[in-house]
Amino acid sequence: MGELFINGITAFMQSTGIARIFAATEKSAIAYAGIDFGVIIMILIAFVLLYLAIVKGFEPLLLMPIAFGMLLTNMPGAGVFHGDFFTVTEVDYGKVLHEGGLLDLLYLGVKLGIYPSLIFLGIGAMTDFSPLISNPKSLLLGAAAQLGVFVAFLGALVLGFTIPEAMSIGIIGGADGPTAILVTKTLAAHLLPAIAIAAYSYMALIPIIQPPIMKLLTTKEERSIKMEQLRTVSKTEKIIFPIAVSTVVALIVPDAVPLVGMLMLGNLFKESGVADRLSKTAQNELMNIVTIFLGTTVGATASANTFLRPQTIFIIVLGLVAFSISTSGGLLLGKLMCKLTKGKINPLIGSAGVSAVPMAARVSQVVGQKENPTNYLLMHAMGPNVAGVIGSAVAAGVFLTLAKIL
Amino acid sequence: MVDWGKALLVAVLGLSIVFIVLALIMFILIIMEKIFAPKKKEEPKQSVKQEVQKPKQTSKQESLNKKDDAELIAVLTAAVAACLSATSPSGVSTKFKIKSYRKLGDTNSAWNNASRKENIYSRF
Repeated sequence: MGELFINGITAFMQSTGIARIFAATEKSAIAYAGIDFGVIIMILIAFVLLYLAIVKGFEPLLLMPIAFGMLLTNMPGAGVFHGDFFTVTEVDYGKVLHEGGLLDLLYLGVKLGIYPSLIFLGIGAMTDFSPLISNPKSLLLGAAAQLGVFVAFLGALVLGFTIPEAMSIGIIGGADGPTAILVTKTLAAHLLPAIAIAAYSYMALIPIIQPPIMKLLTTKEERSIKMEQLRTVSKTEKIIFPIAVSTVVALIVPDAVPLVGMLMLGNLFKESGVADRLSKTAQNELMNIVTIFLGTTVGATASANTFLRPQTIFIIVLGLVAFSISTSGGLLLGKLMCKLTKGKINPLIGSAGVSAVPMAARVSQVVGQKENPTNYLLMHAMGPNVAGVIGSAVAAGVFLTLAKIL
Repeated sequence: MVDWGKALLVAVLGLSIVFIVLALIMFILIIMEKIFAPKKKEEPKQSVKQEVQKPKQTSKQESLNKKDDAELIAVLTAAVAACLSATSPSGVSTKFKIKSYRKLGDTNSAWNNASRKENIYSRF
């Protein structure tokens, strides 16, 4: 009787997470004296990210689910997520359904590219494209701000990443989380946690990263330029815009359709004025549900084996480079356009071409207003900002296509 | 080993395609503007011009009628005096005289600007 009791307790003790931490296996990323330090470090990183999300307010809607997913997945023995189900070339979906934990099943939405597209549907339903429609030149600024994507791509190759990996890293420069996730899950699934965390962290850090570059590349006179008020846009234009953009993009870069198509469908819901309920669902409930699923499952991919590697540091550095160069690309084309239009365009709106909406536009507004307190650049900067969303989705489509055909 | 020819092709081709697609959308928007943009009326333009001219006239008038606004000069003198005595460490103010004054920059009132700023920053 007493022996049974002791055996029961011992068996239970061995099944706890604490016992598992002290029983490092060959699979453990960093183990010393039988202690699995990889797991401990990952749990601490999750705590730090939770602190940044809750106390510092860094993109809390995304970083909090990501950090919590990271915490859950690294709990030894919990088995909510099995990264090895998905990193193989041919995913055995039967196995995922039979043996998978909660997060394995939710992760299917990432693996199959469903969540990023649904998020784009919501973004489309929330976005007002009229600043772009009334100032079509903004599109060029949105394209120039993709420069960092391609420079970081080359940089990643120099650091020894393969071409598909480098493409996934480069796309961080587009400053668009869902786009980065869609490209990475297709081309380099093992880098997903590092890239997603880098992309979302830099989006939160835009107000810190961009202003020094903006001040460095522009003169005081350029920063204080006031721009003419934008013209009003008719309802017909707003309705034709999403239809025209989807058609053009789909015909040239079919791989960008999941993102651009859903973005424009969401926008059509909003602008048509006849599908108000759908528009509200897309921008609120659906978006929130998908955000929870996307965040937790992307976080869950961050196990010690995939995350605690030198590549993660390279990715974080390259992400910053990509971001800075994208900002500079937009600013430099903004300067050129300022010269060509004889001072009618404030180059500060160029930096908003990175697609983080609306933070990048807000930074343009704040930096411009510091120079000239009566200057309001916000709406002018929204043009390149929403153009950047289209631009980075197209860049993602281009990468996906080139990875297939080259 | 990385095939650099292929890598450069990806980078150059990629950036070019992004520019081409967005430039195409730009041309569509320019054409769309010609067809569907709400037509501008002539009248509002004139009224804007008049509004622009008005402040100029008033500023000229202000400089002409300098002697008339003794009260305003008194207020300005007091403000400058307060500012100078606050900044000098000894508290002794230097002698000065206001010879002319003019309105700087934007014609919007400070209240107007403050409310606009509050509105913008509360939303983003």
